[in-house]
Amino acid sequence: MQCNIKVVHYYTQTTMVNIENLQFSYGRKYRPVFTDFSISLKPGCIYGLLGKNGTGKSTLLYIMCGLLQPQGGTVEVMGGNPRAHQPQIIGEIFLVPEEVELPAVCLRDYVKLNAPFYPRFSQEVLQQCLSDFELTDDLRLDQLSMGQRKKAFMSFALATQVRLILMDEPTNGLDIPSKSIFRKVVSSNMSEEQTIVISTHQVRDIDSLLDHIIIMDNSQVFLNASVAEIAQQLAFEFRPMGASVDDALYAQPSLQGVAVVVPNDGTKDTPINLELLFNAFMLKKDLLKHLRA
Amino acid sequence: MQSFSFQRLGLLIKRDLGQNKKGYMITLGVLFSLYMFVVWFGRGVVSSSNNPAALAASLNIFIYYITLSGLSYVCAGLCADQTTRGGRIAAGMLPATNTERFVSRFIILTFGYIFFAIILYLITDALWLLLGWLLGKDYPSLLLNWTSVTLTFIQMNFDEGPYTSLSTIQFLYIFLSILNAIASNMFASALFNKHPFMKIILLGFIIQFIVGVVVVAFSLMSYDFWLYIPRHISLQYVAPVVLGLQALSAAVFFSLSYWLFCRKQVIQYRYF
Repeated sequence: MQCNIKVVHYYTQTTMVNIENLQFSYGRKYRPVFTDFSISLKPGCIYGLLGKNGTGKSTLLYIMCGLLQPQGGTVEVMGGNPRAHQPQIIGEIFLVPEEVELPAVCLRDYVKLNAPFYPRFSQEVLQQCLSDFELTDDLRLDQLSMGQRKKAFMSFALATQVRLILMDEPTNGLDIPSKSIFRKVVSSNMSEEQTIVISTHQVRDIDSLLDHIIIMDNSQVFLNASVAEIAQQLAFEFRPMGASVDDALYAQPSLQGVAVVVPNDGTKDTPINLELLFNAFMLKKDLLKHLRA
Repeated sequence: MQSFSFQRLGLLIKRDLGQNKKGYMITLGVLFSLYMFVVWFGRGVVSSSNNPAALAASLNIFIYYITLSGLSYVCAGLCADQTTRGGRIAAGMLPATNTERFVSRFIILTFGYIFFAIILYLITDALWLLLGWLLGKDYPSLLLNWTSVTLTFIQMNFDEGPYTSLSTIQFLYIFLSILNAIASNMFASALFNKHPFMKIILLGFIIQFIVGVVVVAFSLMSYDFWLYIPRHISLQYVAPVVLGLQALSAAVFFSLSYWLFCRKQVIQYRYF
């Protein structure tokens, strides 16, 4: 009896992105963006990449895509160097930049011309995303507003079903209803094998979407932890003006009184206030040692 | 070593043609209009000239140089995606090897543009013949008459003899000139990220001029300022060297343009 054995190679990886000792500068005249910077990202998570202006968030995304050449260190995405421009690596990465440029064709033609580069491209996902964003595929891409272009491009990005999607300020230019639709579209069309990294200042637009937070500043990663880990160790509260904040790791005035970050003794279950968390790390980095990367 | 995929190459060419259809159609339309104008203008001039053969030859060469100028425009258009950050991101994120992306541009410039330029030349010729027939006028064919006249005019100043292989040498010269033009344009378009069109034309012109001066100094063309080398020596010994230099020039500029192409970054702050 002939026995046909089909050997299936399972793609397994514990690290999606591994960057070690990264050195990068835009030239001798400019201060280095990264000096001995290291970070590691796991597959299957939605990462929020937070940092002040000029910290290098966009630069980091470009380096992950192979669009910039670092001066030192190693950059590995899915085990390969993205700068080598191998289709099997680049074909699994998709970048949604802050400003999207699209050719002067209709969306249908754009999909017809670009989708074949992505073997797992899904028309169903594309149509679902377009429907959620209230777009049709007969729109001329060069006649769309910035927000519409972004929505169309993000729909295409999710439809490619690549393993790593990088988004730079994805909610910039989106109207208020579209921001919540964006959260719904991303969460409902993301698969377990995919990793999404969202670099943004608009934390309120995406805080409910994220399951992993990265805070970086001055070429260092100050926080690289899951939302669950953060919620286990920290609680975020609003206290009336004048109330005691002696137990707070960080406090700042707010419209609701005083916003505080306090250690979680295991009894509290508060939603993470990303803005507060970010400000806490920016001003008092040493008080949150147990959550550092 | 990156594997080369002809399927991906086909997708790249199809993508580029599909996304820039309008630009290419406009370019070919302008080229066709220029050809028609040159022929319309030239027929009257040639027919009233004392030396119609020489003028016919000059006008055909004029069409040749119009075609090469159009090459710069097409090259600038092809590389327009390098002039903006969004364009560089879109180009850099394409799942294709650097070689495939480079070859796709080369194919569009050669088999695409040059091929369609030749087709337009033939269409121009056919249209004028048709026009002549409809109007009852004797409009000789550009292809049958002017091209053969051009070649005859070039050959007129050379001796027939055992050392002459003029047709082959001239064909190689024209072929290598076109290749050089493509190479220098691709190099210039890879070098300049901002406002490439005029810079491409200027650098391409400078390169072609330098190559042309070297070639003409030893050339087979009957220019007055060529060096006084006996013709049989020129054809047997100098011509291969000159053609070799042209081939080397094309190879150098293709290599340089590929080298620059592979080092493109979204923010171009350095190549090294």
